[in-house]
Amino acid sequence: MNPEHNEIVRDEVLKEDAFMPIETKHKEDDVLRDRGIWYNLLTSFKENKLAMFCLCFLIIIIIASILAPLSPHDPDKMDLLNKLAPMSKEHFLGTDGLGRDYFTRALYGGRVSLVVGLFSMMVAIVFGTLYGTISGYIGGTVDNLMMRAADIFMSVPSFLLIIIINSLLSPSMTTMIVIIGMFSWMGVARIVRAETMSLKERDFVLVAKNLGAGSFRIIFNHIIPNMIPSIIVAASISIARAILTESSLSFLGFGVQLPMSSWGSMLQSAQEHIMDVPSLALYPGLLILLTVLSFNVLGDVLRNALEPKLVK
Amino acid sequence: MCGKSIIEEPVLQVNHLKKYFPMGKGQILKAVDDVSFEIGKGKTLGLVGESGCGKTTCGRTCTGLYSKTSGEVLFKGQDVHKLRGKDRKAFTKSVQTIFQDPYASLDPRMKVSELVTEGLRIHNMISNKKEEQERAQELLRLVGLQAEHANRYIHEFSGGQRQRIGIARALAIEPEFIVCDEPISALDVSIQAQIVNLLKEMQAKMDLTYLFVAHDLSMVRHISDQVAVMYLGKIVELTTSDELYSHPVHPYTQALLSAIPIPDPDVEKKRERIVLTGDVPSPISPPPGCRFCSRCKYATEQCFEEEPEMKKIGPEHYVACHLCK
Repeated sequence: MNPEHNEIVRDEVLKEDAFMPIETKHKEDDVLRDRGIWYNLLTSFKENKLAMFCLCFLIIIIIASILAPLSPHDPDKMDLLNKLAPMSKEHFLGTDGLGRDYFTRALYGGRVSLVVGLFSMMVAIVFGTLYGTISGYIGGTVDNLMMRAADIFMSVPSFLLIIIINSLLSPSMTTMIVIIGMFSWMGVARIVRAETMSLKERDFVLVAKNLGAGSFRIIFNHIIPNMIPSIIVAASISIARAILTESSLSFLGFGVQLPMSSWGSMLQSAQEHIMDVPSLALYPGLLILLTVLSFNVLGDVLRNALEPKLVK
Repeated sequence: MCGKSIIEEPVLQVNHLKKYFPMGKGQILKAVDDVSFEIGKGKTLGLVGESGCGKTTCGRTCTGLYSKTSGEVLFKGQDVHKLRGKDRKAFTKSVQTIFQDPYASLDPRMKVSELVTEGLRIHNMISNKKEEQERAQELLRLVGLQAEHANRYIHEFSGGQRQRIGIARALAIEPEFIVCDEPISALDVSIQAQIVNLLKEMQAKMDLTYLFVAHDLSMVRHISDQVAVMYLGKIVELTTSDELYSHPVHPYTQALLSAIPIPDPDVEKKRERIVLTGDVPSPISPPPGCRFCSRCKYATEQCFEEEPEMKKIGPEHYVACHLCK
């Protein structure tokens, strides 16, 4: 064999990349890829089929509720001649006891449930996080007083109180959001306070103090970012719970007022016909169940995705 | 008062510093009990002693992280614990700490670039993101890391690399005085030498003053100009590095030095170890008299009754022992 031939063979082998060790290839990828939160989220969703399903379901529900006005039917228009109609081309999920299009009502109901769930979660998370961090960071007597106040809120039978307050005030979505938020921040505050207590003693907080950082910077740059996984889990539980509370309130008639629909009030009106048309109860029930479940699953996935240590 | 004549114009001057922690039930833990020393500009004071003797507490009290019980810490003539507002912020800019644990002292949720430039942001020394990135890469190169490390999170680094990041963060705001709180004890030996050499290099480059807290005597010898030996919250011997290693006077120092292994098997075999018996007494109720008397083989009656004062026994050599004349 002549040396020239040898050379050619070696070149070919090199071209094929076969000699490049797999590990170095991975390392190059490592350097190149963006290690941001979005990358983590994407990988987590790719790996977890259930999470993917939940995410898709929620996106569909959210888009559908936003686009609800596109439905050809008026959600409040009664058509008594056509009541309790079965599924048909015109009425996708049939009609209810007053002849209103059930599908359209479900879409509008989803608006109420999601908005109330989302916003009361936000009220609870923002207030609970601030309350908990302040309480935990200051510590001592202030902490004691603040946590006892939270305990008092916790030991009040909140559902009963929500009903009373709701019947005193004129019921609207805003009052409902505020009231539900008002009675669900304590759990968040407790979790956050406990985390703050442990985080504020960590070395990196001491380092920040040593660098001359003020309490504000320490809380917002070090303590809160390090609690994000716990806050997200609390948020997902909180949103699911708020949707359930809203449904229960509406079911009892203390929620949104007629003729506005919500999944809870749809369940309530389905009661009368539960023996002849059980599907009327099935649809809103299923929607509540799947939405709440999806939020819970998503909370778990988000927590893992936001933990930089768990990046694969 | 010890050390007064050693250096003119000290950067850090510690006078009779005491730091007690209340332990409940009326008990008091005397972590640092009447400690005095001085460090001159560009010099390094090594502070050695066994675990729990108050070295770290002493370092943290000097930087104002802990409040003092009594005594005073003067940084360039200013009382560290009386600084408020603007003065305090200026002080935090000129004094930095390198922490012992490179795992716990770096925020796991921040990228390396954010970590090393945090001090710059606090003291408004950078104005935008681009400048931050540039400074971060510059600092990483300074401590021997690569610029592309800037966008990684801390869990992707080894212990030695993390400690370098900690050092880069401390150096970022160009301090004058750094408390190195056992910066090498969490690292393995080969990396320890690298870090100590890096610190020495930085000292030469930036004219830094160090308080180097450690329990590894051979490393301390390598980096320090002066060494203070601490036992149960008190300094028992303070002298120049060479003097301490060639003529240790205090029985405790002698015992400590005899424990350094010698990297030569023939000499190592002949090495005589002074083995201390018993444990360190609790700092909650230290024995009256000399703190070391319960473990000292030379202890006399006087040692059990009377607390020894710091005495000058040679040029730049101070010791607290009744037996040294």
